[in-house]
Amino acid sequence: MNDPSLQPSSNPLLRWLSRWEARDWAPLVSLAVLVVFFSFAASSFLTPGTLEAVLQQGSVLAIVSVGMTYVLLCAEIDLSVGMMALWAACLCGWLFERWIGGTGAAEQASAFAVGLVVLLPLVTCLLLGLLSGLLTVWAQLPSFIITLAMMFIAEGSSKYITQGAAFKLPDFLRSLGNDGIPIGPFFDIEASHFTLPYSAILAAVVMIAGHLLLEHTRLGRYVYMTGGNRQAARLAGVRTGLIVVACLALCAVTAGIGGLVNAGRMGTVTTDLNKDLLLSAVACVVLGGTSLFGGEGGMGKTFIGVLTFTVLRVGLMRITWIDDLARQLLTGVVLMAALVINGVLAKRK
Amino acid sequence: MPATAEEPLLECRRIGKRFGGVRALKDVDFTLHAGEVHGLVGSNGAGKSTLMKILAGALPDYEGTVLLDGREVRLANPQEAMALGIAMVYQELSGVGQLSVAENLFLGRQPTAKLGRIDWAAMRETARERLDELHIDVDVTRRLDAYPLVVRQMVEIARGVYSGARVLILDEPTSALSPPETRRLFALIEALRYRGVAVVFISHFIEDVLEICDRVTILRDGRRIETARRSERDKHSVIQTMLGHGLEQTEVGYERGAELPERTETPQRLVARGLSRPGAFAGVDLEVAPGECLGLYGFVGSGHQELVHALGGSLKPAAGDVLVDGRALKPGSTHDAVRRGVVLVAADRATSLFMRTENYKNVTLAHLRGTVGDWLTPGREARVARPVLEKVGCRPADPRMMTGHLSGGNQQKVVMARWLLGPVRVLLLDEPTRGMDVGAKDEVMRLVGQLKGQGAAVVLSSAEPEMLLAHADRILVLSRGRVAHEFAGTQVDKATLMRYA
Repeated sequence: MNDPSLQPSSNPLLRWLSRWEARDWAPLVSLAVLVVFFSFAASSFLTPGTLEAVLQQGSVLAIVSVGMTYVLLCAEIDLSVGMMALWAACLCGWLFERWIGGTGAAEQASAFAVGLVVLLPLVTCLLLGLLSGLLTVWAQLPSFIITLAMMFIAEGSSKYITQGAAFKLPDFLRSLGNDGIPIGPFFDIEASHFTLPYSAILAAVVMIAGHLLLEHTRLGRYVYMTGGNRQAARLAGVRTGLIVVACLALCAVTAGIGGLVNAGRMGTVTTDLNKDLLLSAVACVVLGGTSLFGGEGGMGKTFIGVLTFTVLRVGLMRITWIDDLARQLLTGVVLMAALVINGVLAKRK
Repeated sequence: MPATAEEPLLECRRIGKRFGGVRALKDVDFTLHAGEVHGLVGSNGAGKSTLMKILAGALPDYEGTVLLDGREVRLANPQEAMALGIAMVYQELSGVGQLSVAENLFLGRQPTAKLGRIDWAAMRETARERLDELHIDVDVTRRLDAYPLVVRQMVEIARGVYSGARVLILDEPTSALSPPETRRLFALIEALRYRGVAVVFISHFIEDVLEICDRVTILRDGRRIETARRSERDKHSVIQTMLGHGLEQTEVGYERGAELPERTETPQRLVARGLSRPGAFAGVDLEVAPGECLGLYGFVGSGHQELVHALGGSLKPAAGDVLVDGRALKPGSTHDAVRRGVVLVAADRATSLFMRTENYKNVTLAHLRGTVGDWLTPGREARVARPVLEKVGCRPADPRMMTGHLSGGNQQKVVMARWLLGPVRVLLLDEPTRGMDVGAKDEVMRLVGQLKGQGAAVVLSSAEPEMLLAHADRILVLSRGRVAHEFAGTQVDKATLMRYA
């Protein structure tokens, strides 16, 4: 206790810095290494176009990872996020076709109707997430099992309502997924012109809201404590079951939002979307340094994780001499290396 | 009954052991004959478990010598002790519940047929024969966890015997058993006696020791006080020797007992009616008034710890009600309990604290809404936490320090600080000072005293008589899950307490 290194400094900046340990730095270093590597390996990497692509491609992953962060922080898992995202998109497309698209008057569709077509799928996601949570808590089964079943339910429902057909989506969603606010050019340099995608703005809003909820409200605190030491949280009067339900419900909703944005980007909904969304989201959250076993991590870390993952994917696309079919293999190899390095550093105290 | 002139099977000469600066054992002599059942008794901390861990090979750096069949042996690790024929059956059993009885009996050395295939038929047959020999009547094909604790213990013992053990060490074998189950276990021990196995029987239950053992060795403060034949001693004199009464009158504090005050006729704050939980406690009634401290005394495993957890909602009782100021608490809900000011301080700090986070988060957790408000910031929370950390005397009282970096005593003060942020109407304590040094103990109990003075009803559960004699106004003694006696308004001492347990 008299060890001076354990005594916090009186200088707030130093104290803030001293809270950073090797395991906190590791994800940032991985990101930096990737950026530097791609800058040298691909001449087209350091351009506004790359930034645009990273923001465009990362936004869906970022939105889904917000909910996944909550679930992992309270030491649970949600395996249904990918198919939950698919379900939201399919229901949206189906409703759009039924209510608006079928009449051939899509242009005159009222904002109210479009709003309903977009919001109803999210409400169903919320209900399905609540169901997963309640069953997990009530049956005292691992969320792994319950959400695995939910994954099949969501995928099955998606296939059932679409009957395998492709559906169009409201213009609003297509615009959200593809358009943005033009920025620049700066100093009359044509290359500095780029578009800030709407989806990235939405992702930023969801992430910041997720961060504030997590760090500055009782719910967030209870999430950390429920994951860190469930027995202790219970002894302090925290209703840990309720927290688990809340996290799984929240995760289902962010999955739904992510699904709508992703489908909007594609323009149409088909049931082969979002196949790798679940594993990518888990990889992002863990890559950022959030523990799979609960209690440690945060939204800032998830942000770094999503950025790293997306830079890796976009960067590999920029290296023209890599065989298209080898890209996924390389993604896996680099991802594994980053996870191992971050994980080993996290173990060292 | 072996003749004492016969050469002992196992002989320990001047065994000693230190843990850092603390002497756990000093110059202990201990002999064990083939076919003998030898009791080992002593208060908590007398050195029983240290001695048996040395024999089981778990503490290789002991002083003194151990002779087996007259030859000196070095017990360097558990495997070596096992190879020499010394087996230990722990209180927490190590059998695999999901496997059958037969598989458990042959765990790790299954009989094999051709090609290394397990010979299931031979295994079942042999298992049946061996259990029959020991008069253990069970179906060897059923899963072990289908059977009650006593059977699991007996299977564990049989496994020890058939893996070649000549010395069996049983640690508190009867503490969780009902009287008929204890009979079954004793029948097995008798059978072992005729097979020439030597048994070391470690127990807090003096009656059990005096019933089954040929001789009993009494330890106190790490020394062997005496070894006596069963016929020479009764329960009272064994307890007197364990406590050192009549030998050394120099011990201070509550060695000579305490005067409990008369009960006052105040309305009760906490009332429990017919609380039961299978395997822990049964039919417990109790009441505690504001400003009163009710002590719960019992040996480890007698149900008083679980009882305290049930009162605080952290364990759900199978039957019965807990009422606070006349209104029932929701069973098994710590949330309801905390909201009504019923708070629990557990023995193990790791079950109530988050070690890898800042103190302020541990302190504010239960009363965030009332103290910090709706928007949490580290600064605000630290400002709320600092005064209570100072009040409980946490050193250092730094709200931003990691809780895991504090000593055990200071960690318990963090738990106390948490509860001081809200009203405490009922304070439940389960061994609140376990493993703390004397100074920290006093400070924690001083805080308890303050809360009691402010009108909290206190329930203090402990296996240490001194603790209860010093702090309780009334004492309930629990024995095997039932209230065996209530002490109120009388003179009571350690020996009397232990006699009822």
